[in-house]
Amino acid sequence: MKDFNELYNQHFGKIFRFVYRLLGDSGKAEDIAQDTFLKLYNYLRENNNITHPKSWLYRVAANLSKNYLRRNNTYFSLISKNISTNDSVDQSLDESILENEQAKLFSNALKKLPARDQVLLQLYRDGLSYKEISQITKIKITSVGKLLSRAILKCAKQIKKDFL
Amino acid sequence: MKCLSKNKIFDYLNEELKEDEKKYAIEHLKNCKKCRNKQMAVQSNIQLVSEKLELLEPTKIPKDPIVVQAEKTIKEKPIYHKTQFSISHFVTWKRALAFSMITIFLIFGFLLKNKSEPNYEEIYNHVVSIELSFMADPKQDLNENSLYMSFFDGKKMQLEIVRTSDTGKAISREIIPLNK
Repeated sequence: MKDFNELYNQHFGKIFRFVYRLLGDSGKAEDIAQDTFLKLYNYLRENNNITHPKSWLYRVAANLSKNYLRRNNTYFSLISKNISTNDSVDQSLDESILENEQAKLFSNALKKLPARDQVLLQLYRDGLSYKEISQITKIKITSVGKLLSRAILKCAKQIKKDFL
Repeated sequence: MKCLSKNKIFDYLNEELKEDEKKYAIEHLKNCKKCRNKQMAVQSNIQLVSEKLELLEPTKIPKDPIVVQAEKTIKEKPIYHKTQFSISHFVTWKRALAFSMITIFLIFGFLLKNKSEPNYEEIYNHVVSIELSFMADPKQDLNENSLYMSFFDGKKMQLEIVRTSDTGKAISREIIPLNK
């Protein structure tokens, strides 16, 4: 399982950050990141080959996050919930973000975007190429740029509206 | 030259254009002020969104559970390598104290045992020899009704003589130290 160890060391941080930005909950993000790597471990153990492990990991993490968020109705529901009830927040990890008024405003702005745009923005934030984003989201590679551009424009408009 | 769309400019900024498209975009942006303004607008949007997305970054990345467990174990039980042997790792003040206590205890125990336990066989033989010499002494005038018993009281040997009458009644009782 040398491959698995390499992949874990290489990608765990990125996957955790990606899920954290989607969920806004460090404990849940860690669970989902661990689940993602557990799935990878089982997949590799069955002698399956993964041609694009990074995309594979992002796709699994995104799907697990989506499933989790679907059960909690909306994206960033946890962030907004935590912000509104400041005293019940995880003291260590979340505090720095939740105490930040800017983060609060931005999470609310982001919540107003469609779920697909939120995922696209987070993938773009991680510096993934159009090809990788296409593999993860199953969107046609020719449409990725267009959809990303629109998502950024919508998000920027929302920020300007909410912040200024 | 045909102007660039916002999407094309976005792709250009993300280096996702094909080589010929990229050449065209560079050439066009040199000459078209309108497209340069568009480029600046797209760029500022990207920057704005990226800055805000950074606010949602976690401050800490959790460690690998295996690493956490290993660190915990190392903290609890320090590992001493053979190559890094040092006398201070082995001889601690607690161990030295325990060793000294055990040694003192063993020495005292040995001395006390030797002091409190006499050689009973030797004493018995000695008592018997004294009894025999006592009985053989005509001065002692022991008749048939006399009872005698030797004993060791822990410090010295003694002989108890009880003289009785014909009816069995005790007439006298005498304890004689045997310090031969």
